[in-house]
Amino acid sequence: MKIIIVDDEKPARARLVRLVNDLAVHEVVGEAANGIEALKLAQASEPDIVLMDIRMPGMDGIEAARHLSELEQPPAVIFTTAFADHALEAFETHAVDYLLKPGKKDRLQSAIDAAAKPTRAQASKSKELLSSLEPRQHICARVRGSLVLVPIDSIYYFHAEQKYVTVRYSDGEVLIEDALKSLETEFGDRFYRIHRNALISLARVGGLRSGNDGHQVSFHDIDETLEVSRRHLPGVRTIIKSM
Amino acid sequence: MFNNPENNTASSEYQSYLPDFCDGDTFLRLLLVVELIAIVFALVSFGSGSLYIHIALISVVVLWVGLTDAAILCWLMRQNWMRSHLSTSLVAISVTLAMTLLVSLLSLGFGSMLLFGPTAQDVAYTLIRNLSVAAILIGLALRYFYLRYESEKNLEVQAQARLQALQARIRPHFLFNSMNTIASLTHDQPDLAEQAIENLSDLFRASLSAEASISLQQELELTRSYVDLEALRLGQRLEVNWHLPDIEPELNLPALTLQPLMENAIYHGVEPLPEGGVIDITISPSPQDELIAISISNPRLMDNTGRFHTGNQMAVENIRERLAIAFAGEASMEQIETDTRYTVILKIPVGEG
Repeated sequence: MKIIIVDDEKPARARLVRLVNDLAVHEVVGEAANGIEALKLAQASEPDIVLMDIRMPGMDGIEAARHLSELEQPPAVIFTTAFADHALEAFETHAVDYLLKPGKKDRLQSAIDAAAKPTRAQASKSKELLSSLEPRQHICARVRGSLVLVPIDSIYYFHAEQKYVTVRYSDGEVLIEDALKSLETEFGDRFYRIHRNALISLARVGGLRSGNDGHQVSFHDIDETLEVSRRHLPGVRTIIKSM
Repeated sequence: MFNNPENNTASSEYQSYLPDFCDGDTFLRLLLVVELIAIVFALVSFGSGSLYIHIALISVVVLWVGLTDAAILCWLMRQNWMRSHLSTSLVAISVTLAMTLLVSLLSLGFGSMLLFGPTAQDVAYTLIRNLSVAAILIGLALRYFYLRYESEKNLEVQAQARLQALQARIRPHFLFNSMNTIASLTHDQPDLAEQAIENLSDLFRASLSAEASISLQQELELTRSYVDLEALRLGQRLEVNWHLPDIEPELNLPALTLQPLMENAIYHGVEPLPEGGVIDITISPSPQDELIAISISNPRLMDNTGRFHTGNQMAVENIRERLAIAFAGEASMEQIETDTRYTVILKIPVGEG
């Protein structure tokens, strides 16, 4: 088994590395200090198992695990945490495995054994749990085989076209497979629905224009507009007025 | 209260439930109450003639009893006659009855010299009446003093308990993270592991100790132990700059006042930053207003939704409350937020606590 270890604390990583090495049948193929590093490392080294701390700066373990689950060969994730708070009850009911730090070798052994043969039901349940916990800070898209992380703050809008959703952000565009409906549920406090096919960022919307082509919203910094449907027009007006 | 926490636990030194009659304020209040009682008696027994003279006559008798009674009780208190609730009550009752008897006899004698020769029946009747009234009044007074004493004692016990509960709040996350660090270091760097255990012990000792107040120097040492532990865990991400005066001011403050503020600064200001951050702790004496200012400042961050981290307001409120209890409102705490830094400033009076 190839294992990577993710924790922002060096001593915590060192201990897990030693415990895994003591088990003698697995190999630690890398270490990462936060979620973003973990995603890069996971793409490069294709691990079977990720030992993932939950509370980390930058991108926390739960969000990193969500993005990992989008990989073609998603690794099994075992969370590690110092203190069993209420969030872990949810983990238990969804059969998502976790270790309490400082963890014991036996417990690590059984967690790795269980992760080595995950059932389909478990995988889907854990995905459901991860997506229910908190909105992500990043959108993760696959561009020519590698992962691109788009910070939510940098997004202008989501625009749905047939099978994909275009994410327009400060550095360009990426395509993702998420449904607009689920994006709206997840990011509802920062994005607003203006059309059956579009959500716009409340932080980046510039104004509302009316012309021959109907009603259009514009954005700060980019020279693009999106159509507002008649059904959503009153809501958009109120929001733009209140800014 | 912070200066001698033993006060409550020591049973050898009995504290009477009576107020201190030697105290000027208490004496004046007693005077007022006794005079009111005299007026009540005068109004109830008033028949004919001048009301003022009637009040004056009765006042002389009642004040005479009340004030000599208080003076004698004051003296007996000083002589350490009251060693338990029972002896206190017996002494108070006997002195009051004795004084009533004495003053009644005197006034009867005085009356007989001037106006009339009272019969034996009159004398017996007056004495019995006066003694009964005195017994009832002293009974009521003792009951009142006792109830007041109980409720004050309760308040103090409650305040003490609340204080201890406030003090014993160590974040479980911190404990288990430290344990994990120690587990890791034990293998590769046993010296550091040993140090970490010493620091953790110091912090727990302070948190479990009944000692409510410690010197600024001790508190700074605790805070340093805490920072050292976190530095093992966070490595180079944590940088703490200590700006301390050359001579540390003499100052007592509630134990674990600065450490939780430092914990907040690290937890909310440094840990969420992948590259880490800098914390400044500054102690600046300001001699003119006799307050010491202690400030702890950390980077201020946005949280997930683009709002600023608010930090742990519970810890802040907890410390505010303890300072209020310890310095009777003379210490203050303010929070200052700029775009990039969050600063807590404590102002504590010198030489108290």
